[in-house]
Amino acid sequence: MSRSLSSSQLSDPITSLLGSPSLWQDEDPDQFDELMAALTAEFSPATAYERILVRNISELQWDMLRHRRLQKTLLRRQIAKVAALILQGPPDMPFDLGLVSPEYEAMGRALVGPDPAARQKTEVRIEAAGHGIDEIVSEAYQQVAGEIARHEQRLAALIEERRGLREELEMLQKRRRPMPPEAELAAE
Amino acid sequence: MTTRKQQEANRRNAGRSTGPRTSTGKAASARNARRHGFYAAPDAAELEAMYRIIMGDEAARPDPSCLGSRELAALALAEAEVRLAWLRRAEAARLRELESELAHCLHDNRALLLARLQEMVWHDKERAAAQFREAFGPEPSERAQTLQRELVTIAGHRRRLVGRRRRAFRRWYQLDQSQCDGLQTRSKE
Repeated sequence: MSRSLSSSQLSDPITSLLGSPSLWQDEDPDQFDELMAALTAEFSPATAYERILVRNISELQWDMLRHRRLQKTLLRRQIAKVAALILQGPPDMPFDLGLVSPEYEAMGRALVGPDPAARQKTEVRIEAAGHGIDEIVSEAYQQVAGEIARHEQRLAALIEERRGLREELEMLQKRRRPMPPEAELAAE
Repeated sequence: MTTRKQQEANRRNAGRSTGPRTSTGKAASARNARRHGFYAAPDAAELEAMYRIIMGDEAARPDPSCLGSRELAALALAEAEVRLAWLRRAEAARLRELESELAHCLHDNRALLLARLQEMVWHDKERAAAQFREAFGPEPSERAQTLQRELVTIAGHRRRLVGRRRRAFRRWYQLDQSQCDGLQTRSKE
């Protein structure tokens, strides 16, 4: 007779089989572990294969967070670039970061940076130059719209893949769940 | 449009092909599966471990010559799972290496580079290569170009594998369910 394997027995083999999660250099493995723990609590996998599905769902979820982060980075950098160019030169100047002096580049960065005082200072200068923040954000968005749209396409594919895995996990769990007594009587 | 006559001629000609003849050709052909390893057979130990996990049986052996349809479906699923896990690792390793290769044009734009790489990977190969040159200078290193091409290949291969894995799961689940139902019926009788 075959021996059934519990998930706890197989937790280490799963890691050695799938390897550690594929994180980038600037990504925090502890954050991935937190995500995985949250999803494990949500799905309560009971078999080794269910654990593998949860791990795969976690990786997809991580990829989705990564794409959101990358989209945000793209947009923030472009906002900084547009702001720096507006502050530095005449409005019809070609947008090229190479032409921006370090002083204006720093101001542009301050607009999307973590320091509220520096941000406010740049906002005041932008308004004094006769421009608005909305105008800068809109211009920046238009410039990276194509790249953002492609991230969105990828996100849609990831969401679909995750939906499929969740469905599979639910199918396995539903089959494992014992029938309620009323349903069992009805079946007889 | 290809006519029926042409199709038949093509088939006849293809049937006559005996593959590469020269030693150089044979050597090149022998390396087809090993160039980047994306299409090579999965690691036997990993495949066996995954098969056992799917079957929930630590004594199960994935020997295709003596497996029933349910076991063969589990083996197909195991293979897709192992390949997908391998591709994820391969992709992450290439991205890390590419990042080092392009360090000279990164400065503090690391996150931007990664954003662009991710975005580029989802283009077709030619468009991705053109965009790559545009973003990172007209002549990125040979290695950087190879890595970028491989990332595009991985992305395409992964898309196909995801579909294959999904079909393999459905097939295995169906057969596994039928076996469970059969066992339940017999035990009731």
